[in-house]
Amino acid sequence: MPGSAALTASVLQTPPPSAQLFANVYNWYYYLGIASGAITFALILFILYRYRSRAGKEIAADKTRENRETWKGPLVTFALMGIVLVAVGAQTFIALPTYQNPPKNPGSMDVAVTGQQFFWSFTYPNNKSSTILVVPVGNEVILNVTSKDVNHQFGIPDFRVKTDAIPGRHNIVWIQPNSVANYTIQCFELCGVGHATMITTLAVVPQATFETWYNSTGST
Amino acid sequence: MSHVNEPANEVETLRGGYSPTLAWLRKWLFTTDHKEVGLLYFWTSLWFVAIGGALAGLMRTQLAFPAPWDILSASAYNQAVSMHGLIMVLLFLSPLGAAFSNYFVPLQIGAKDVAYPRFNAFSYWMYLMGGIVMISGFFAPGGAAQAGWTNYAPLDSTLFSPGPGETLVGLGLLLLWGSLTMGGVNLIVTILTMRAPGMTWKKMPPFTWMTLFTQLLLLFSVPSIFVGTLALISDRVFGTVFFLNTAGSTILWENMWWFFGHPEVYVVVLPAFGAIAEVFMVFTGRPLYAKKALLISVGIILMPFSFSIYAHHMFLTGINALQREFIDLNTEINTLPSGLLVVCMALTAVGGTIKFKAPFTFAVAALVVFIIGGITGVFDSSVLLDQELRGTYQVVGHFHYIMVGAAEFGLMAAIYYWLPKWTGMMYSAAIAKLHFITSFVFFNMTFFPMFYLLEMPRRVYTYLASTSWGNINFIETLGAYGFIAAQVLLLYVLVQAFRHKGTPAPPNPWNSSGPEWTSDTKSYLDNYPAVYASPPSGQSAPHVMTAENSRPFTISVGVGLACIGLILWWPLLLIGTVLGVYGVYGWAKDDLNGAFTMPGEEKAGETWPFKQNPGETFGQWRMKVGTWLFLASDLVFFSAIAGLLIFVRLHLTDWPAVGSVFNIPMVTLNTLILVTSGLALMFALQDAKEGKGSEMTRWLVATLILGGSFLIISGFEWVDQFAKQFTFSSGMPGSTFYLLTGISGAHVFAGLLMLAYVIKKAISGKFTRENHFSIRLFSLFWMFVIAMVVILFPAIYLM
Repeated sequence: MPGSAALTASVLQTPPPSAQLFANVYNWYYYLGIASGAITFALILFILYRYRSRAGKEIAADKTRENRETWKGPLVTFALMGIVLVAVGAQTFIALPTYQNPPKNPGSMDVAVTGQQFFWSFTYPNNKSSTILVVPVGNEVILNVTSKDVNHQFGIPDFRVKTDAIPGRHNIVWIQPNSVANYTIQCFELCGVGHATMITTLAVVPQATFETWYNSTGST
Repeated sequence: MSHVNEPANEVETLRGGYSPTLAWLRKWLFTTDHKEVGLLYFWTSLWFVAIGGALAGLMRTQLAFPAPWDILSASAYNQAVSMHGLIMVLLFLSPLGAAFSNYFVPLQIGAKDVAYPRFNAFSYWMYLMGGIVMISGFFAPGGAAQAGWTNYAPLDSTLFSPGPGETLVGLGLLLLWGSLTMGGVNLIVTILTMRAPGMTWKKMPPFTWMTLFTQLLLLFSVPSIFVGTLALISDRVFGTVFFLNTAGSTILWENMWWFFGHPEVYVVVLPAFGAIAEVFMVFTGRPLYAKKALLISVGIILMPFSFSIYAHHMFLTGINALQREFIDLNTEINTLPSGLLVVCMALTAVGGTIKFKAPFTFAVAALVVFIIGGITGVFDSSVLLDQELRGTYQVVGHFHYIMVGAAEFGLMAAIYYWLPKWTGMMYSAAIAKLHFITSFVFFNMTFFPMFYLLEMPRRVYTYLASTSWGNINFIETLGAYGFIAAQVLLLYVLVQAFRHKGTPAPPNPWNSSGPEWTSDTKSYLDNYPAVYASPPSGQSAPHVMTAENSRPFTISVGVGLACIGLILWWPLLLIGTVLGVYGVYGWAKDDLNGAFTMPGEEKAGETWPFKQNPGETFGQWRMKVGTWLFLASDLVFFSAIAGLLIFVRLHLTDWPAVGSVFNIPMVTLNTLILVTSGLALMFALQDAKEGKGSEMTRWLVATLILGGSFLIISGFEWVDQFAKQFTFSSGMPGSTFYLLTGISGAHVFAGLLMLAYVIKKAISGKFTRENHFSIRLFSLFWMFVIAMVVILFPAIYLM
């Protein structure tokens, strides 16, 4: 399904931990999904081939309103599907706490994210505000996302992190940038005419650069 | 079968000697025959898919190249994407399923028509007018609605969508919800009460079973969005603040929308699967595999679960983590019946002799595509994966595989399968094959690449060239063009068949043992060789019921014009209201004069679970069953209102103290007046049973006076509150008060209209001690309304 490229190696750097965790879970769904699909297709193709009509052109009289009740097939189907569903579901449930809950390590930084028509603004602990999310490499950042007007959706695809920005509500996501790079932040919920252009950048910079930027006055 | 298209001389005589054009118009505008109504649904849904498809073509053209390509502006694109979704789901797929349900359910169960033919026509015209009202937004200043087909709040409020387009969508939706509710009651009562003797539940064909499930889903999911849409219109037209308030707003709307929206996707798919099941049986020559297990798993797992998993559309809103996990699990469980559907179809073919005719190839394609759609859906069921996939083209690919792939291909199978029945003509196999191949190839070309775009946001009118999405989008656009072009072939097939060009088909070309193939296709009004009912007394000339009635058309056009007029041009509002009132009055008059009756009142067949009482006519029994069903739906409607109120109160701590806004003694007294009207009605019923006509009439009038007083006093209450500055816009307390009392008042008003009709009947001496059925039916409704008002009373005034 994916560009598999997106799931095994990020653009140029090592993917952030959230993306790696996501990729692990995704690959379970992906491979089991392909396998289930392939087996089902094979079954159908086999049946279509095996029971195709070979002689004559007419359709045989349809004795199709007769009884063909059984519970065997359905139960076997449920069991097989159940195994696959449990297998993939388990991956989700196992990884979910790590994925969702910020570890809150010392040195983690809280940034308030506000979406509005049609830009994102970021407010730092020292009340510095910016329209670009600048963070130091290596530190956990906890993002508290809300909106000033309509529903938006704050997403950083490279980190596999996303949440709704809803007026009056605060949703938490967290990231752990591990490479110096720029990543795309985009809006994923239709919010008006500027929806497609509500794009900004997550700039992961070296610690020192961040200190300088953080302590300087004025917005970026 | 050609009666619906061939004006035979006998038909013209039936039509009272009108000129052919006028007769044709009268036939199609005034018909209540389920077959003709089915065909109306069919052609109308095709008209809407042409519009929806054109919008898709426009969108794909805009997305073919990255920025700065702007064939469509952002606003135009947003209109296109929003209306495309609404049209395709609500005005195309669902009604196309209804076309087959209307046409074939009575034929499959051996009935003459549906339970309420006039309401059937009414459902259709309300659907058409609702669609027209929604689409009229394109011609309104500011354009059509552009808040997505999901109309999320607060984007759908006047603050962020100031033009009339969104209001027109809201009003059109109200008409649609009414249409679906009536249709639901109609088809369910038909299936429950009009099966021919010997047509047991076990023998019922799978298509009828799936129709039953679909209509049950609709009956219990539509009330939720009905209330939501009323709240939205109330916001946009009257200035309430349901969706402008952070205590309501986004989450309230999402809950009300998706409680309907998720079951709706099964509403779209189940009729297609019913058709697929029929086709699999016929073209493999084998019975349906494990029919009972399949139906039980759909009825017992799929249906209830579809109501409990809707919040998987809300995984990122910040709802409770435990809730999310619960819903993840339930969504996975709900894939089991879907998987079983696929397996049962496939295993049906085992041991059979497969003929790869067009209906079958489309059915197989639907199945294959449904598998991909289903598997990609499992990805979205994961709370973790959804965190990335939500709002991306992965989701768009997933649901198009289900909607276009499974539902549309399944319904195309139905078209090819049943076309000989509708028209008596066989389609050209070569064209059908070409249509199939091109549709299948271009469909996959359009939608499969979307699974490679899991970082591209949905509903964006453009994207940066620096992304790598341009090439994939270009391919998808080519695929879309191809898919749209391929449907011209289907149109050709249909036009040829309906114009009777080509090869005629024998009465049962597929040798199907489906009951619908055994009906006499030459008869016009009756589905099975039967005697026309004897003429109503008082008629002189030999009178054959024509199943014609103008009221559904008139009322619907009136309501539709009124909606458009309310928003765009007030003279239309006047005209529409007059037409609507005239139509309703005419309907009541028709009933009082006995001018419309069903052909033949045959004895009921299988009757579980509703027993017919001795002394009740068949028609009365059907009315009773329908009333109970309608009240069940109305109960869900009021529950949705209660849900809204609870939600708001839980989120808003700042609420006026009890007694500070309302005059509690007065409203208590007023409610007691309403309760007393119920007592008066009970006395009237008692007198009716004892045959005391004039006492009965007096008590009925007393009921009317008391009920009317309740409304008038409520009206004074509203005026009083307005004077005290407690208006529609007085925050959530104002919004909830006026919406709740408004809806209750509307129910009381409707009841009073019904009561006026009943009183007219009483005065005309139509009631006897044995037969005063209308009063009993009315009392069911009246008691229900009183119960709702009494239950809501403490919620509104004492909390």
